[in-house]
Amino acid sequence: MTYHLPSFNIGIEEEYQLIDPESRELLGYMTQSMSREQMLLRERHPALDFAQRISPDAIEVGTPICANIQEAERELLRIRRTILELSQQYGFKVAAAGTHPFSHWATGPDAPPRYRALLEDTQIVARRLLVFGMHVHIGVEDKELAMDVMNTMRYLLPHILCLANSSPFWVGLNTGLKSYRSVLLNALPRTGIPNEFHSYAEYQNYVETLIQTNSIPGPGYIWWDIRPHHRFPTLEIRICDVLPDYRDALAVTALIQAVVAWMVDLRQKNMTFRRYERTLINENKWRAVRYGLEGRLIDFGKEESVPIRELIHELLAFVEPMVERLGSRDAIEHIFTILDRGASADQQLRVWRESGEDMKAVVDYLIQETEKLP
Amino acid sequence: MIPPRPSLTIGIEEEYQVIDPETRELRSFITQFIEDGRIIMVEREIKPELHQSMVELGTPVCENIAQAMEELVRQRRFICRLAQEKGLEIVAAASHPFSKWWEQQVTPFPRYLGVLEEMQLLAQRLLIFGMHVHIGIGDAQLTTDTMNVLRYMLPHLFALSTSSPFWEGRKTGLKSYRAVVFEDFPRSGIPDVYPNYSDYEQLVRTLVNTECIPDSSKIWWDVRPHHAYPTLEFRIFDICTRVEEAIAIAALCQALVLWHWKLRRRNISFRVYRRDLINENKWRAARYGLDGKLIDFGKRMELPARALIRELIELVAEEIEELGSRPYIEPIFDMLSNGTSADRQLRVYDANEGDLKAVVDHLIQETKEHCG
Repeated sequence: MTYHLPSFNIGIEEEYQLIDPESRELLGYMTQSMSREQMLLRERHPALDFAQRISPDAIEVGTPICANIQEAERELLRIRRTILELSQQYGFKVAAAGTHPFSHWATGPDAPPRYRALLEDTQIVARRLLVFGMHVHIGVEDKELAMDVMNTMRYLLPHILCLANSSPFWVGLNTGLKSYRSVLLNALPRTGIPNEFHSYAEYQNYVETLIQTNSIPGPGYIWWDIRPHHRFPTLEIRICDVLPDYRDALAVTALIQAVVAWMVDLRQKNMTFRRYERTLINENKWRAVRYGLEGRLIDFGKEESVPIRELIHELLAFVEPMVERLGSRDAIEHIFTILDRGASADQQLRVWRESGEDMKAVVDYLIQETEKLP
Repeated sequence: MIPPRPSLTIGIEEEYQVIDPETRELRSFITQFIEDGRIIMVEREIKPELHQSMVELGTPVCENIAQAMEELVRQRRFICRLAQEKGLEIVAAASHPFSKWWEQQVTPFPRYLGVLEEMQLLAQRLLIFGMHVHIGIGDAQLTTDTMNVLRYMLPHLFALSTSSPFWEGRKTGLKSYRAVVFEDFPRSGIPDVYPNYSDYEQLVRTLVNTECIPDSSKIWWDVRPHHAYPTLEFRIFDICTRVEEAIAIAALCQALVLWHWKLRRRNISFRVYRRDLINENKWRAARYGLDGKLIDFGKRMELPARALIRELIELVAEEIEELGSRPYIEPIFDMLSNGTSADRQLRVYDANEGDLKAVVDHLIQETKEHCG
C-alpha cells in the first residue's frame, strides 16, 4: 500500500503552573492546546479569583501548525510571552515544571465542573495528578504510517525522557527520582508505553471496544506516552515533563521531529527500527525516570547497559541526515548544552542542595528560568 | 507433548500488619525477633519485609483445599499469638487506614537497604499487604499457557479480595488502593502474552543480562510462573481479612487451573485478550469492587461484576465438585450479597462517623475470626 510522505509539521502544547508570588504555593494552572484554527490558552483548576478575572474561557494565541522548528520557536515564545503578560497583569508568577516542589494536592483548589466526571471516575487517583507535561505533535497524516512509527519509536521514548525531566520533588519531598510525574501518571489507566498494534484497524478496534463498553467516552481518554491523535493528523508524544527553559523544550521537540522523520526514512528504504516488547522498553523508562541523564539505559540490540549520554550522542548521529533535511540544526545543538549542564531535574536538585534544601528557592529558580525569554 | 495433569497443590502466602492496640498505628515488630540478620524462631519461617511493621508467612504445600484451610488457620493463630505475647495485634487488610508510610521503619537488612536505594521513595511508599496463591502445575509450557489464559479472570477474582479503601487517613473512593500503589513499581500489573515458555525465559534472560534484575523473582506481575516452585503464582489479591474468604479465592484459582487443562485436552482454549483490555477490568475492580460492572469482552458488553462472578463459578462447577471444594467456595456467595472486606470497612467507617480507629478495631476482630 502506498502512503503520502508526512508533513512533519510541529505543534507544541504545554501546561504552566500559576504560582502565588508570596507563598510560592500553586494557585492553579493553564493549558495550552491546539484547536483547528488556533492555539488556545485555557485556565484550569483555577483559584476562584482568577476564574472571575480572566473571563474568556480561552485565549486564542496564534497558529497551531508550524511547518518547521523556526516557526515553532516563534509560536512558543509568543505563547510564553502572552502568559507572562497575563501574570504581570494579575499578579501571579509562572513556572513550567512537571510537579510543584511542595504544594500538596489534598489542599489544592477544587476542580472545575468539566473535570468532575473524571474525578468521579478515578477518585483519589485523579486528585493526585497535579502534574504538568509537554505534548509534542508531529504531522504524520497517513494513519497506517503513524501506527508504524508509533510501534518503532516507542523504543526511543525513554531516551527522550532523560532530556525532558523536571519533577524530582513532590509535596515537599525529594523523591529520589528525576521524573516523579511519570510515576504519578502510572496510577491512571491507559497511560505509559503502549503495546504494539499491528495496524490502524487493530487500534481502532481497541478504541471502539472501550467506547462500546462505556470504559471511555472517546479516544481522548487514552493517555499513552505516544498516541495517534484523535482530532489532528498527528502523532502525539506525551512522555515529556514540561520544561522551564524554552530552549530545552525546542531542542527536545526538534529531536522528536527528527526521530519521527528517521523512522519514516527507514521505512522508505524497506527497513525498520526493531520492535521490542513493552516490558523491555519499560525497563529503560524506569531507568530514565529514576536516574535521568545520570543513568545507563539498555541497548537491547547489544544487550548491554550504556551510559545515557553515549546513547544520546549515538541517536544524534543517527538522525543527523534528518536534521539536515528538516533544517533544525540550531535547535538540536542545544541538546549538547543539556548533556553538559544536566536536565531541569538535575538543575533543580542543585539549587535545592545549594540553598540548604529550601523548596521555595527551587520555586524561585523555576520561575526565573521560565520567565527568561529573549 | 501433551502436558500431564497439573499437581494442583496449593500454597498461600499472606502479608500481615502488626498493630499497636493502643494507638491502632502500625508498629515495628520484626526486628524484635532478629539477631545478626537471622531470625530467631524455630517453629516457623517468618520472612521479614522491607517495612518492619509487615510480616509475611506462608503455608506449606497443601494437597487439597481442606488442608490449605487448616494450615492457613494455624498460621494466623500462630502469628496472632506471637504478636499478643508482645502486646500487639495482627490485621489482615491490604492498607492501614491511617498510618503514614513515611513514618515507618525499614528492616535494616542489606537487601532491603538495596531496594530502598534503587526504588527510593517508591519503596517506602509500598506499605501494602497482599496475598499470593500458588497452584502447582509442574510443566513449564503449561504454566505459561495457563498464565496467558487466566489473566482474563484476574480482575474478577481480585474484586472479591479488595480490602484497601483507605490510605493515609483518607477515604480513597476506591475499593483497592493497594492496586494503584503497586502500579508505581516497574514489572507490576497484568503481564503481556508470552506464547511459549521460551519467550518468557528469553525476557528473563535479557533482563538479567542487562542487569535490570538479578533473577526472575524481581518480576512482580499479578500472575507469574514462580522462579523456585513449580507453581503459577497469583499475586493480584489484596490480603483478605476473613480467613474463609482467602480460602474461597484460592479454591477458585485451583479450579480454574484444572478447568484450563481440561479444556486444552479437548483442543479448546479460552480466548487470550490484550493486556490493555484486561487492564480496563482491573481498574474497574480496583475502583468499584463488586459494585461495578466488568466488561465481557466476548460479548463486548458491560455486565454487573456479581453476575460475571456467578457465571465464572458456574463455568468451573464441574472442577469445583471434582476437587471437593464446594463448601469452601460458599463464602463467595455471602460476599456477593454482603460485600468484601473493603465494603465492610466502609460500613464501619460510616457507622462510626468516620472514625478510622473503629475500622482498625473491626479489622483486628475479623482477622481472628475462625482462627481461635
